[in-house]
Amino acid sequence: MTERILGLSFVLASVLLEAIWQTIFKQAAELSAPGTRPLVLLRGLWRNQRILAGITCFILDAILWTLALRHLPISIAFPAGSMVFVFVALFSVRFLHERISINRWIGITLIIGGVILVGS
Amino acid sequence: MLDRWLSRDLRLRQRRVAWIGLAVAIVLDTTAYLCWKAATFHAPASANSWQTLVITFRQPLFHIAVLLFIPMFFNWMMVLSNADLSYAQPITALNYVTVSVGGVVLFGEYIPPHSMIGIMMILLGVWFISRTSHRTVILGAVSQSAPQKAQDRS
Repeated sequence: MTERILGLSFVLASVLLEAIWQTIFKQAAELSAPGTRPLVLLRGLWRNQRILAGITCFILDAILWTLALRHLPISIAFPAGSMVFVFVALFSVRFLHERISINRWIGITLIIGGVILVGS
Repeated sequence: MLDRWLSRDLRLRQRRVAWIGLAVAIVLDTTAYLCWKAATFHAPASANSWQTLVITFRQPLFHIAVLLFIPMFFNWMMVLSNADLSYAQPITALNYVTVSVGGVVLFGEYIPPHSMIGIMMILLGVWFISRTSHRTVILGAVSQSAPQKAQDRS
């Protein structure tokens, strides 16, 4: 039981970190080049300090996810990990001011259900 | 002026770039994951976690997986500079579909019926998201975006 709680804590921390690094990457992409030219984007990223914070969160996320998989079977870790879609959507609204229409919420809900079924 | 610049043409171009980027992201993610998985096959069943890690880290396939992170990162930034995070990120769940199919083709794995239903639900979810506007309208683009918003609500 303790093993499971520990594993689920790692999953929760991991999905929160993913939502954080995805939000940071999005902000960096938006600030660097709101357009379609790859070279402009690369130059902008090179000058953007916050990308390092994002990469740090990404590495921590990978480590925590690996730890979670050592404490939990895939059939629990994958469905629990699908929480990431909820956190990313909520962070997108709160911090990136994105509008999520009803169709997008339906899509996100279907995807979460699908990931739970594929993993379990 | 900005209104005109952020016009329908630009939005269509952004949408196209975002979808090409998403396709590339899914191909790269799936390749990296399958390389990673194939690299772990070299560890004997008797190996403990640490030995498995050390053996895996020495495999060329594992090095390919790690190297793939570089193009994956730049490609993902390209996607994010053209589409909403809440649009692009859930679409990457298509990885679950491609990895499952890759597992069948490469490693002869079996997809149980409940996973098949899950795959269908992911595909349907992605279809629903693809029906929404790829980017929340910002700044002067508001006045140009009425048709897009109408589509978003539909």
